[in-house]
Amino acid sequence: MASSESTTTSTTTKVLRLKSSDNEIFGVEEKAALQSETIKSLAEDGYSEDVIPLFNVEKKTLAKIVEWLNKHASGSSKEELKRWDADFVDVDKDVLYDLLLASNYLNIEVLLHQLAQKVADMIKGKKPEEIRQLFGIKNDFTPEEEAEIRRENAWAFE
Amino acid sequence: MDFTWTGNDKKRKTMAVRVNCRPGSIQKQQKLERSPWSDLPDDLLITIFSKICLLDQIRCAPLCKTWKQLIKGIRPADKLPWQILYDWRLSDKGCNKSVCKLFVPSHLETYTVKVMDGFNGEEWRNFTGAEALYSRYGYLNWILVVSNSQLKKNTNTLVSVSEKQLFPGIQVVQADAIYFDGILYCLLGWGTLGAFKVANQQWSCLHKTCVRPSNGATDLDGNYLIMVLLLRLVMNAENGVFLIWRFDFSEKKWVNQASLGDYAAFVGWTSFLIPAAGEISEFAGNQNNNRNPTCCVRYLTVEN
Repeated sequence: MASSESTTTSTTTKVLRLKSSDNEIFGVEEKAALQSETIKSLAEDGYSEDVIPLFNVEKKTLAKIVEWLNKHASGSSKEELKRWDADFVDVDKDVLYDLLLASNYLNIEVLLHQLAQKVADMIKGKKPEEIRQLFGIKNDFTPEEEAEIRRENAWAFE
Repeated sequence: MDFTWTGNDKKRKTMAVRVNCRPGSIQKQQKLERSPWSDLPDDLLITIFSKICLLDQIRCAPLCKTWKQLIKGIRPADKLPWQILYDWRLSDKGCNKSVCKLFVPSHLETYTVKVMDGFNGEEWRNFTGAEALYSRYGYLNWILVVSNSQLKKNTNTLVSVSEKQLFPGIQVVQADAIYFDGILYCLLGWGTLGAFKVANQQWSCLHKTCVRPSNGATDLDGNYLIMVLLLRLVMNAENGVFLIWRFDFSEKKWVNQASLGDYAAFVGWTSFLIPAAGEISEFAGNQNNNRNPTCCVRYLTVEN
């Protein structure tokens, strides 16, 4: 435990190389990259000298993730980060979907919660039909089943 | 739909397994096809659903089976209690109008729920004068206490509306009952704490005390029955004097408390205590007059 911590602090300027699923390589300072638990465990497993392969993240998504990692390791003020984060998650739902999966795969807890909050905000106050359309959710209930669920709280669907 | 949230919170923890990618075990690289939102990993969906309020959870449930299954059991993100506004009218022909409205603070909107549709004759007479009392599950499982003077029976009745059950003959002091984990905790006369197990409809007396709750609020700590606070409002005093008691479940006795701690109390026609966290942390330790709502629906709030 103590030794791994000292390793981390003594190599803060070290750059890790992250490779996207479509073979784009991103150089990221270790301090920023290690906000991802997945990258951290890969680095601990001996990938830190080499390229760290991230098979589940495409380059356009990884570019966004790297942008987030850098910003959150830059020592920005809380207020500035809050504004920046609000802009960061203000993306269309397809990008949001990719970012969600990527932050889940990379295990970046803070980012994951920001993205989930964004989805929650998009859901808030919408009728089921609007939510269905927004996220393209296929209805796998029979009409009878759906009617039964709605009947339990009919007032919420008027 | 039954909103209990004991299961998935734990599930979330156990599912947050660190992704450990060794070269040999990594799946073949594949073009990530954009699958529907309903097919997001369960733990991701749970994270999202834990950030939406009860009303939005209700609206998301009928979208697809995965969502419905996952939402069931996730504590909603609501910070403030819903309020039930219940009113009924008598005409020559009897009860011809009975309206229940819900005020949902997270959306700042009022919704009309006509709860009396299914009740007629003897049943509506039981509901006449009913007062919506409490639910830990939002509207879905709220409980009414009926003081049925019209029938000249000196009994109050507990009713679980969603289950359409009547539990007659239960003496309940005004405005205090908490439903938690299948058990209804009620302050009976003179500070007796009774526990009513809904499944087998059996009463047990947890403790008797000389504390008389003339008007009070109780709540249970989220971590499984640690705390009940009892407030006493001394009548005749302009704003009342609040005495705070905590029920120690291990010792089975009431313990006098000096402060409300992180809770906020709202005491009035009906009363409630809520953990003052997050957006309402400024209320911590406060007692607030709460005269307007006919009733409040309460539940525990959750913090990250």
